[in-house]
Amino acid sequence: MYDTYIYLSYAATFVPLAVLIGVSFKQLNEARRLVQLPAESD
Amino acid sequence: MSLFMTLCGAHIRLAWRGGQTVLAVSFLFIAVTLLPFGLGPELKLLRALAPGLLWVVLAISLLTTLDKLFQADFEDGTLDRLRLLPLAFEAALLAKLCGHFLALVLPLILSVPLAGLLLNIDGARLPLLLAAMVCGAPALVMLGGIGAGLAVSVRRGGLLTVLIAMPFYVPVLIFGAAASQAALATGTALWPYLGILAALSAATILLAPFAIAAALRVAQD
Amino acid sequence: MLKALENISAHYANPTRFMALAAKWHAPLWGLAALCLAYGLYRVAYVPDDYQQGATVKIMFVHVPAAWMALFGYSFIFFASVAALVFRHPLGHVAARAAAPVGAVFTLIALVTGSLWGQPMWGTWWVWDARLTSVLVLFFIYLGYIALWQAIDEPTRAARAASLLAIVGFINVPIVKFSVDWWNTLHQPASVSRLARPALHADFLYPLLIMGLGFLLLFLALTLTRMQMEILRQKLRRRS
Repeated sequence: MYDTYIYLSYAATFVPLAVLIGVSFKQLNEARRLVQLPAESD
Repeated sequence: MSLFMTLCGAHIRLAWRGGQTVLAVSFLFIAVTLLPFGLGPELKLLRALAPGLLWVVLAISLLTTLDKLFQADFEDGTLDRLRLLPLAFEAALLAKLCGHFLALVLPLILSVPLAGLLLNIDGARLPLLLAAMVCGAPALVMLGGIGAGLAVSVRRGGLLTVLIAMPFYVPVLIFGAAASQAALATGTALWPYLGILAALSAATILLAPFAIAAALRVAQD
Repeated sequence: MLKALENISAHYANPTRFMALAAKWHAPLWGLAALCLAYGLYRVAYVPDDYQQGATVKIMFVHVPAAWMALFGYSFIFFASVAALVFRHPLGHVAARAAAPVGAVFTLIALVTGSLWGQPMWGTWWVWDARLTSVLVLFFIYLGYIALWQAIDEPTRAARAASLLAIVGFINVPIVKFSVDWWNTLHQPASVSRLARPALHADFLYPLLIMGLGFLLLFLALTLTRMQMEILRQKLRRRS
């Protein structure tokens, strides 16, 4: 009967975590990519 | 000591001349005026809520005055000169904060009776509410000062100051409102609550200047 | 023992060495976190119904660990800030900044799941009970901390200001907890609003601890990922 709340709670837990994990890895890979670029000069 | 007084007086003059006192008090009345539009004009309800509402409005009005606390001096280099004075930097800051309290916070507290009238506050409880506010407001000024110090180098840092200061305000508001409730409920001893508020104020007066000085040094170096 | 820790932290104070260490431990840490969470969820699926709450007790297994991580996160930020400001450890600021969004997300999760847990029990979406209220205030503490990092342009200045805020704010956390607890007893609502529970039976305690460990490993893995990102960003800033 109250199962909706349980599902919502687990969604509310793992969806934000998935978003944070995704964003963090995206930021890490972006930083890695930028570091590899040859330094811009002139 | 006289240097302390001079700094204090300078900040008071700064606040008055900038019209900050008038602005802050106006803000308090505006906020109180808006409340019945949100809550309904029923006098009994307003009377019951009045002490808590007044505390919150006082705190918020105080928060609006904080961004003017250090920013002007930071930008025109006065803060640097304060550091060079024979007086300890922390003491100089305490002088400014005292000036802030006298010029801005005391007028706010003095406006509370009239504002309370708008909320149909019980007149007999009013002195006790004011006593609680006088005991607790110094803590609010000191804690707000920490927020102002940390955000000083940020342009338009007013909202940031409010966000930083807000969690520090929670305990003071809890005890301040409890003191007001005690003022409301006859037979409940007021002194312990005033004592806690006074202790909070004393602790922040002693400790906050060090945190504020550290924050301002970070911004200046 | 303390000397050994000191030596280790000094050894890895060098960002390059830390990055090498991080690269080595990154995948294993994530793997461990995933395994622990998977096992935890498996255990939770078989948890019996609670005598009072029925199946909704299962919400406890995400709400409570999230609240634990909310508090752990801020403690982590505090210790990292002390390492940075007081002991001048080069990676202190990096660690604190990396952990902040992680802690903030866990705090948000604690709030939302707390609300969802309360609704079937008390019929309202929010109650001002002591724990939820404290977590709400903690959320604003996180927001202020992150906002300060974002607001100040100059990175060194931002780092020092943020660390100062973290240290001063940490003193506030027990004060808030104490005053909110007290405030809650003052205004005891009609129904007993305690999300706290009496001593847990083993059937509930062990899955809770496993989920707690899983969340902790996840926190550490995420923070490690973000620390690497922050160090690289620092490198990029120094270049330009």
